[in-house]
Amino acid sequence: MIPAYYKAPRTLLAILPLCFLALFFLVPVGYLFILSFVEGNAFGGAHWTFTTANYTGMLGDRFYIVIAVRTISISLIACVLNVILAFPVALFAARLQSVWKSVFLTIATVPLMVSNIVRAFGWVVILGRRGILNSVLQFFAPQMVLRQHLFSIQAICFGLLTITLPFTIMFLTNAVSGIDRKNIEAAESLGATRWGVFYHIILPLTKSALASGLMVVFFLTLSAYVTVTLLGGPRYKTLVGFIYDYSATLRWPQAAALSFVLLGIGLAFAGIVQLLVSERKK
Amino acid sequence: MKQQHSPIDGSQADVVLAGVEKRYGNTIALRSMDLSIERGELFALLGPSGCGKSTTLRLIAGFEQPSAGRVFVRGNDVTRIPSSKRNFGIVFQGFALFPHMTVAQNVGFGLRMRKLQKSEMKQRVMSALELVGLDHLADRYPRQLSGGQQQRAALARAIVIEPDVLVLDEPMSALDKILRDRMQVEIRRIQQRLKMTTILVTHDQEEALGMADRVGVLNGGRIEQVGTPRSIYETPRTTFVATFLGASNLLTGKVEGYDGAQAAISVAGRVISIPRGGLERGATVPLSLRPEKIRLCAHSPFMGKVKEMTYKGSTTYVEVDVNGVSFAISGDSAQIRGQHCEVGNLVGLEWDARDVVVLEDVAS
Amino acid sequence: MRRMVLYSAVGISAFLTLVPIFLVLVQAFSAGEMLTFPLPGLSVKWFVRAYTVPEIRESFLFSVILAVVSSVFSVMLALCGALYVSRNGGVLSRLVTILALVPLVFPAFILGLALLFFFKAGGVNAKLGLLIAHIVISIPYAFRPLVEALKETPLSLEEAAQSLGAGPLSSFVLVTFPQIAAGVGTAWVFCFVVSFSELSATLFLAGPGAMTLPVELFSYLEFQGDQLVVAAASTAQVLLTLGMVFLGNRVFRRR
Ligand SMILES: Nc1ncnc2c1ncn2[C@@H]1O[C@H](COP(=O)(O)OP(=O)(O)OP(=O)(O)O)[C@@H](O)[C@H]1O
Ligand SMILES: [Mg+2]
Repeated sequence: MIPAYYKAPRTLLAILPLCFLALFFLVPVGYLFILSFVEGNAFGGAHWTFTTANYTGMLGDRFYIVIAVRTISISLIACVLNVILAFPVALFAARLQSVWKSVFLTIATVPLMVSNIVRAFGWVVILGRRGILNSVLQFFAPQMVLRQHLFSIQAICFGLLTITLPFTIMFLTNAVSGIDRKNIEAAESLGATRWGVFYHIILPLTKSALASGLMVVFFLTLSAYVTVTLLGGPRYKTLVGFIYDYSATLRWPQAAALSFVLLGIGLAFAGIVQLLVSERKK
Repeated sequence: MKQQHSPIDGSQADVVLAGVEKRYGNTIALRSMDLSIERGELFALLGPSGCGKSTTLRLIAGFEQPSAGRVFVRGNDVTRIPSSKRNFGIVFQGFALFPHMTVAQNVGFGLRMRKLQKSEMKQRVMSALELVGLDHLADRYPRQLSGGQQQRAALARAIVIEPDVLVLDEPMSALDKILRDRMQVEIRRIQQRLKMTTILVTHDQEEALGMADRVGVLNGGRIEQVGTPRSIYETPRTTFVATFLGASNLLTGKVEGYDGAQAAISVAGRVISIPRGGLERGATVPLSLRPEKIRLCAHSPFMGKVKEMTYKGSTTYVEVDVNGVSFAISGDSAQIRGQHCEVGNLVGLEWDARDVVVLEDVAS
Repeated sequence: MRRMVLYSAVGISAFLTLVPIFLVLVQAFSAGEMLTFPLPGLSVKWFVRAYTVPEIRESFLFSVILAVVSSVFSVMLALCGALYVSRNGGVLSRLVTILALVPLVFPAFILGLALLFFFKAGGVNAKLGLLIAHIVISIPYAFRPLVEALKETPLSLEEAAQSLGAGPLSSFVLVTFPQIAAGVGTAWVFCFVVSFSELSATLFLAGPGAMTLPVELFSYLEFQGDQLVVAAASTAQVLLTLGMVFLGNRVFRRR
């Protein structure tokens, strides 16, 4: 009924970005998924033999299990540290006057605009063998033996916090600022302690922001290849490191399968977080 | 464009809706609407919120396409013509002045689209601004104007293109009461001077009755009644029209029989006669009686106890209970005081037989 | 006690997020020959040295061009989608919204891998591949501010223009676009910044002749290149980014 001249250009508006994203997002990811079920060295020849060996092989291999546990542990540590640090910061920021709050938010978001490579490199500058930490130590204790501080789990965690903290701080600051002060005052007038206010008022009201923050942190840390490589070195590889190595050595189906294992871990975490958040709601 | 004559009346009607329907998914915004608006008249579409006024207007203006039916302008089928080719002047709710253009640029926009020469454009913009009394503010931006001035600018922008039809969507809703009254007079003056076919959408009954040549009352996506303000007010056809336009006593009567051309109808245990035929004997009919048509008197068949009195300055509102049926009366304060009307007193009610209107629907 | 906890958390967070970046900026101006603290003196010699490294110079230029071109495309595609979404409901509208925002949460690292295989299979060269990848990754950053800007622009403005005789195109150009110009500018700056600092997907797709600055710096670091050269190049990158954002705020600030 609606004439063509009226409808067609409008639909075209939707079709253009849809086609682009379908072609260069959905199709490649779908292709990667198919690839993860192709036999290991199929890429040398033209054999497309379907197999689940890329996945089952990993499950049976202790080596992969160790790497996966390490990857998940690092991400979980990053999540916990994020919450411990970002919540007080958000409580602090929420009480700032409006001008100071916007100054705060501007400063807090500056790191988001700096490339991950620069942020990781910052830690190399600090922790490296000839880094700032060692030159400071040497200045105060010249006879001390200098150590390499890089290539450790601590270094990885520092680097990951540099990347993820701005997100959690932003999410939580917005959520805490959104709470009506009257709610807090009401709770205090009813005799709640400060911890009680936090647990009964602030936490439930910022739960969904916390959940989205945690999911962002988890995904970012799972796939932080550059940070982990520069700060963890060859000893502390995580799953992304192997994905990269496999792709570099043309073991594409394995790289594809590992990618979906990584995605699966991320989605599982997101699912658990969502479940926790919605269960508490009742 | 295919020439086609309207099925209703091609000669005088400027805008004709023929069987127009509009559905949004499952909701029906308009159901099978037939409407004919005459050349040069000011037609008001009146109805409560959500009744489909804006939808009707958007269909007429060409922002939406009807799900069924056709729209004719001066005999031409414009159902499929986009708004930009319809030559309608529209004053939007909230005015929709372009914030990045001055008043003169706003008013000149339609002429610019019509590729007029600079000099002619300037002249026509100025004369339109003069007409609405805004020529001294031509270089201001909309945000520098008061509400009333914005409205004048929007009006000038709509009429400068010499539209076939002028459409006003709730034009006064953003204005305060005093300004509203003044703009009503002014818009009416300009409209009559230009003899422009005008459609006014409003939910304000005073505005509709005060400004329009004819009023169409809309309810639930359906036209309930079309007529002059006077006929709509004095002889409402349905319960909805009777109550939406002013207050009304809705009574239930029973047709007892006929006395010549007069129907005898019993109300509140008394029989009244109404000059009205075509009613079935024994049927129950809804009646409407305006409160200001009822007078108080000492003796009448309708005697009742005063239940409530509210003094409202020049008028007084009285509620009288007659045999368990409640009558609302609104009358001149002095006249009512003269009738010894006090709460608890017994008073009589009287009215002219022709002021009782038989409604067509069943009163709920 | 409570104060102490709050302030120490703020201090630690500020240290973790700002100090690494700040130190890179400071070290870039070192007059010494290696990382030292405190600085032996100030100079810009490391910027000059970074400039004389051909790989760094070329990748910097390539990054700028890539960011400019890809951000223009992502803003245009996102604008199409945002125009549709802000004016229509329905399945198509929801589909556009979801698809335009998904690259925000989808790990860019895996998207890069997927695109690598896809482009290999399709024979797409590295430059075009990078362009496409950066467009996909930055679309969400343009889509959101554009949808917001359009939501704030009443549809009645466009309808008013059309009722006055403007066609769909001229009503957009003359009336709607001026209202959302600030939003378009902001969206463009976001996209530029995202593309200019993108590393995860680019890592897979960059190649000879199509090397971006972040990837170049990464390999330079991995192969133990001079750290102060990296500091200088990083500083140039950070300053350009912050300059863009600052200018963007200035130019496109809401009236
Ligand atoms: N785009 C739409 N999608 C779905 N339903 C709509 C749409 N536009 C209007 N409707 C529905 O159509 C009916 C009529 O709406 P319309 O806007 O015409 O009412 P109105 O008389 O102008 O009311 P108001 O005085 O509040 O402006 C309403 O029930 C409304 O919910
Ligand atoms: Mg309306």
